[in-house]
Amino acid sequence: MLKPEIVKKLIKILGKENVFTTKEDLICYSYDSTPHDHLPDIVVAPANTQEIVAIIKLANEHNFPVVPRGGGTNLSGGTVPIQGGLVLALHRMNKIIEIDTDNLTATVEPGVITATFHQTVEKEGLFYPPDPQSMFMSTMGGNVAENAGGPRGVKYGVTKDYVLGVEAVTPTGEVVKVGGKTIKNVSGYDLIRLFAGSEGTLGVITQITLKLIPKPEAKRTILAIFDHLDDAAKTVSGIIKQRIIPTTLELMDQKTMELIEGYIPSGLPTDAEGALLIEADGSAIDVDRQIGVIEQMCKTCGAREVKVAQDATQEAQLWAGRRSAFGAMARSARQVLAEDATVPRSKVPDIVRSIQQIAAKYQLTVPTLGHTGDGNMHPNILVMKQDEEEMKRVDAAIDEMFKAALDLGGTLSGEHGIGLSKQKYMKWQFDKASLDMMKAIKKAVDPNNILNPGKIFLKDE
Amino acid sequence: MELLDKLSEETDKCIRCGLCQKVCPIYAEMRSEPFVARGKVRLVKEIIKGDLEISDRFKEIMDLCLDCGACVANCPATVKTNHLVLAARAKVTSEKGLPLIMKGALHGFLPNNKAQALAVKMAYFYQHSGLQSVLRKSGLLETLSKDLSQKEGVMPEFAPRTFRSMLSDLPLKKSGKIRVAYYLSCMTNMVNPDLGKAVIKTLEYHDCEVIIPKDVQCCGTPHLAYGDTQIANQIAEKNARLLMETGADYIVSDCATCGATLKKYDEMVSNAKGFSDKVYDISEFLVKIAGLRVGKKPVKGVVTYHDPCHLARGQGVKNSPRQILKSIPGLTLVEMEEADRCCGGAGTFNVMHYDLSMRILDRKITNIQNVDPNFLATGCPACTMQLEHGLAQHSMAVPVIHPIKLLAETY
Repeated sequence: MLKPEIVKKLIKILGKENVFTTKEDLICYSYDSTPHDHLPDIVVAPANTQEIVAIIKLANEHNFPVVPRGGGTNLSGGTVPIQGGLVLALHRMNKIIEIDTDNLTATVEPGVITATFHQTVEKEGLFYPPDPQSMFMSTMGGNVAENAGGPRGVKYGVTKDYVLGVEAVTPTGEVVKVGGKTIKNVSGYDLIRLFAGSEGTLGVITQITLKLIPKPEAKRTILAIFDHLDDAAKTVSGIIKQRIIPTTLELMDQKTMELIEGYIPSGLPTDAEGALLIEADGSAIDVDRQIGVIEQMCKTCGAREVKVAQDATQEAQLWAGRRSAFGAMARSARQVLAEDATVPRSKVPDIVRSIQQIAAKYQLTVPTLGHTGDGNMHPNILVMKQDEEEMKRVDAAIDEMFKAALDLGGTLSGEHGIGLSKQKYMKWQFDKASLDMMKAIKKAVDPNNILNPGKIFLKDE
Repeated sequence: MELLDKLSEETDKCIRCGLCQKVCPIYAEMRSEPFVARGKVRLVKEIIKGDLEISDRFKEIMDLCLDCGACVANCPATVKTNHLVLAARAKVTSEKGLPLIMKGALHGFLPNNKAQALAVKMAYFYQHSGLQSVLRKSGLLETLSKDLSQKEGVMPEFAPRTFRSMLSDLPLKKSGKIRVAYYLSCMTNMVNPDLGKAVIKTLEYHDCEVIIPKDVQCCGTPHLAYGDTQIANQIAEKNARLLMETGADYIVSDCATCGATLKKYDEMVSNAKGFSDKVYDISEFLVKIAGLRVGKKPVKGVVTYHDPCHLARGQGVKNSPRQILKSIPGLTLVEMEEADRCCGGAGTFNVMHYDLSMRILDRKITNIQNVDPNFLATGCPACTMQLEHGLAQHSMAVPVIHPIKLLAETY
């Protein structure tokens, strides 16, 4: 509970209608898309940078945590106010301030919904590639803070590759402005990259300038079915060796296809080890060339069936199965734990096999799909009962999956972040010196540990 | 207790992915978590667990739901948030009771056919005696309250006589290939008797024998919406009995909302076993059962179609009305964007939450404007009232019309 005098001061800063203290409101800001939850003491919805400065100064004065929040759809526990305090709901700051068609940049407030941003720039013939699968709910501020990825990452990179400038309120209540509209910028430390993926621990992002690119003229899709997972993997490296980087290279494993077919039959085989869904984009002529090479490569590498979409309807059909995958999982379990262990591209078959072995060992159902083009796999653990015994097996399995990914030269998280979910694995991936450097940065900019405390690092480490 | 267990299971299905944010019309305007399905489901879960008590804020949050079902349709786990919200409202009503005026409307007025007839006379007098125009011009309503003046604007144009009172003068054919009981909805009765006539004409053109049990009451939707389960069940029991007694093969409704609720009667009351399987929306019935027959007279122009929530998602009927519109000679169906997005009418939602409802409506009107049609077709009287209000506010002279009325013009 915050003292009444603090609440009064917050009301003075934000106005009564933007300060929420009822239990109902607190409950609604106690969770994200993970099973973690914790009640905040208060929720406020600021309208601008100045209000955020005032709130953060107040937090430093009275020593309460501040947790910035966008759509609340992250998969790491990142926006759960685990130590209570104040949730900064940024939905009112949702203006697209400018689309600069001369410099191909856009400047936005943090509460802009990602898909709204996509639609707006695409109307101008421009393209903002990062496409986290929560894009219809996630916000641009959240995307930067979590450094969100998506299927198009293999060709176009992730959010940090598009951030040219950031305005943020620091944990002590100062406003910093770094970067701008220039593509080249090596003045001083690259604080933009520091904010990207900072998970709300180093600053509240209040304005973002993003790089845009011309919208590709055309795109086409191929679905290839493989009896053996290794052949699918060979295909991926084969395509890359032909100097073609597809827009997306999505792998579905056998378990995933079984679930999809049991939910909305989409013509996927349930007796094949894997399927690749490949999309290429570019100029119309070039897309046809790419598709030709990709189709040939799939066949050479032993695909038992290759379907090339000839029009938009067929394209939608090919994607239908993949798009219903999450629904198929959601309705067959009480809880779906979406992990995102990531390995170098060449190690995809190894990690998929490891995941399957671990699932069998702990008697769990773990359909796996992933952005195989960039090695970012999503083993989805289906929690059926959610009782103590099962959760023990789940935890043990997750431990082993991360160990396997790290052993293959991979990383704990490709695009979801550490938050609360992966804190305990940080020391597996990083040596003490690396971890100490990260913590030193946090300590230097947030001496009172105000912003999103209790995340990324474990307390006692 | 059994109900609670069922609801508890429903809340457990939510995996908190947040996909409901994408489609909820209320969330699109409010953009804060309590007003989207994920938040509401969580609150109901806390109530069931006993960690939260019914409060004014809880009621306020549960009241801000259109029951449009968009979240359910878009939910990977198909969590029936609309059912949870209605159950929550029932719990609020059972604990806190209804406001007096609402109680009067739900208990006294809506189920009472005589009261409806009287009200229609008074409303018709108000609208046609010049009183309405005097009041509107005088600015008196606005002086009393801006709110009152706006709400008065949503009021439908009442008919001079109820459809029920005309029934004795209407000769109905005494035979036909299919026996159909036509459920008389409140709005057809009070506001749109012409629709009733068009439905009868159309059904008879399809060689149906039409039976109209005069004593059916309001379908009970308003009662369910305001959490008055007891009265809703009484109504369902009576209506089911009256409609079953006709011995008809099928029961047909021209109102999207009534139809959706009639289709739920078998879950609500014990005397309605097998009843709901016989219920069809009029468009659905013509296309799927009777076999659509269109006349030769053309209706010239462009029509666009608005999907009522309770027809598209409530009953899964999307194609039949479109098929009817497409088959009308001279008429071209042009789809609008987001045709199945709620218009914000939602029964009395537009009266209780006028400003919010109008913001939701604005998006719909823009989508209609982009088509620039001669007719706007829809099969729900609540949508019709809302859309007429929005079109009038934007000075658009587009008639809002039931697909069956357009169809009947071809005969």
